[in-house]
Amino acid sequence: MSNIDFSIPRLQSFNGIFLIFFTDLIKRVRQNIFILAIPFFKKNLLQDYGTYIIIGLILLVVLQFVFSYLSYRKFKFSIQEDAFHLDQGVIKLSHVEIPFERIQNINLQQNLLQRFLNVVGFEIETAGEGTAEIKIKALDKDFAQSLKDKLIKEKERRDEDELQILDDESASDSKLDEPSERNEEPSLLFKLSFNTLLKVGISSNLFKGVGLLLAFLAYAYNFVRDFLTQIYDLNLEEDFKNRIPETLTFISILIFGVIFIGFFITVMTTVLKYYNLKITKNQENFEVEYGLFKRINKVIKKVKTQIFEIRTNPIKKLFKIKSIYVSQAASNQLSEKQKIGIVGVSKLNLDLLFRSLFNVDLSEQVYSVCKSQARLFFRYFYQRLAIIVILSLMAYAFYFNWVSGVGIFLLLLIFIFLSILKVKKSSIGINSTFINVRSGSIETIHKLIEIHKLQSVKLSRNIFQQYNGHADLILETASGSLNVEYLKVEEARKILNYLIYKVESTNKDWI
Amino acid sequence: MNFENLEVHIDQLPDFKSVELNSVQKRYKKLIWINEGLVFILLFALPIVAFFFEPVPIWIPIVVLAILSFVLALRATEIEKGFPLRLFGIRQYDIIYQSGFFYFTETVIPYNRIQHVEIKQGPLSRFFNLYSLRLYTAGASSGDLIIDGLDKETAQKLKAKVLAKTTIIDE
Repeated sequence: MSNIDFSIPRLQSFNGIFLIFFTDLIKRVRQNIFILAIPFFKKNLLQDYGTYIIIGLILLVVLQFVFSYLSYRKFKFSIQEDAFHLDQGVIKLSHVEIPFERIQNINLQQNLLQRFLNVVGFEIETAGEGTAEIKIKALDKDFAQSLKDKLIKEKERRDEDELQILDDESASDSKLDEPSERNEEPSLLFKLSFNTLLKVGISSNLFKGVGLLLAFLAYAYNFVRDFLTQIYDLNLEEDFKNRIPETLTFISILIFGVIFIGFFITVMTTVLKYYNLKITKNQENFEVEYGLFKRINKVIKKVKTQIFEIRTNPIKKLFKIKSIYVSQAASNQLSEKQKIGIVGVSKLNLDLLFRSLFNVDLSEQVYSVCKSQARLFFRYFYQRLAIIVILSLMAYAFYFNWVSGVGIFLLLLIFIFLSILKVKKSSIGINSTFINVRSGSIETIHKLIEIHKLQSVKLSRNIFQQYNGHADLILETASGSLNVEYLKVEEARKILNYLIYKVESTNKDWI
Repeated sequence: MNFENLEVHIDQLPDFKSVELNSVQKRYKKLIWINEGLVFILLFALPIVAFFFEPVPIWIPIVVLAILSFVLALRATEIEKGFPLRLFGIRQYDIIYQSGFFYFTETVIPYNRIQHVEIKQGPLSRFFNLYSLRLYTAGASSGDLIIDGLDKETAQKLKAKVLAKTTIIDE
């Protein structure tokens, strides 16, 4: 496999043409979805201009195909002596060069379409100020694998050269451990069984699914209503408003239905997303793979790991599983999607993973804990109160009756309860190597960071906090900032002094 | 709260509050006012024009003007009260910067976490002969530090100081 000559500029796999075409087409359709609404404004549109519309559409699709074909032809990549080269662009040409040593991760992934066309997507991640990420949409699987191997080999050779220079000067660098362990074979660390996956689905936040469903229902409702009012001249809203008292049972059935289907959707999406989750240990790194339709392959690099997140909730506790989210160094605030999620982990596996990432035991970590002060409640409470006020105004204007009153009052109680939980859970713990930031309301989230991976530390105090002696402590890391709210100002200051002292007195680098 | 299991005594650590801080150039406040003034002149112009515009009901520009005046008052307090709080200080291993009246923020960045340093000058600040120092750390831009309103000498001195520290540790 390794005798492929990578130095000749190459095109993507032939099926790439179709992949690019279909993805572009889907993108276009998504961008212009609102055109679907036009027939509702203009009657007889199809009868009057039908042929023109169809011809226009066909023309557009053909144009899109030509464009996709050109962008396929212009997309060329190769490996030259010192770097990965990529040329692309139909109208605006661009040339990207990535030196081997700047390559951080190489990810292979397959979505449904790629699976169907039997190609894989190839992603090169880099760390640095500019986001020079490279995405190749379609490669043959074998070719992609050998390209990946080749790049990794080149990178390792670079790193070794560098290490030999460093060798004479310092001995305590963590990178130096690598060569001794290099011969280790990739080994399976953890595999998620279907049973546990189901448990993960059941214990996931079901409001995500409910939200998805509600958004869909709202869209469908609008669509249907527009349709009906156009054709039958019927006012659904008036009709609905008049029948509220008698449809109360209907509403409660509807709510239960939504929650039930939402729950089902949540379980389904979780199962699809994390289907057959596998972690393999490959030298110092961990390869995480998951997904049924869209198979995702991500690499956790030991040195690049910044934030180690452990999440539990009451149901997860019942099932004795936890979720882990690993954030790696990036040039922007990491979104939830960019975090590498490992779900359904038992305590044993958690300890194992933690130990292999940080070389210490999780259970041995004892923290000095500093809690957020009770006054934090008011911050959350006022934020929620704004929502309540807006809802009340809306209820007053549209559905002013006892149902909406009771609903809003219940919502207020729930908000108060959640705020209290949030304040109770918010705290920061420190010991000589780790910071443990706890947060969450029903869920409990522990975010663990090694102290030497901090970039800077801030104390922020708004005008009220300045008077009542509180401060927010903000920790900046290479994968986003963490905020610990409402600490006592003297304690926050002490923690800041300590953390800064630790960062300055260590010779460990953040990456 | 106890700090017993830490290997150093937390009260004996150097306190960042004990550092003597320097203020930025006084003329920088004029620059802020000019910047702010230009924005507010534009913002105020709109509702005032609307007064003489028939179809707009009279209460809309009045409400807008009231809100704008309130915002202006807040901004004015922020600038006047906040300006004396804009202070920076350097220690052996880190740089400290504080600013803000309504949101008072104190930032400490160790030199060995600074990726690169930049001295910048906008068109208006060229007129005032002022410079701003930008310290970039890894990760999101929320971790970067910008110190505005420095004269050339101070900016360059700070840059040299920071760079000297970062390179020594890099080697």
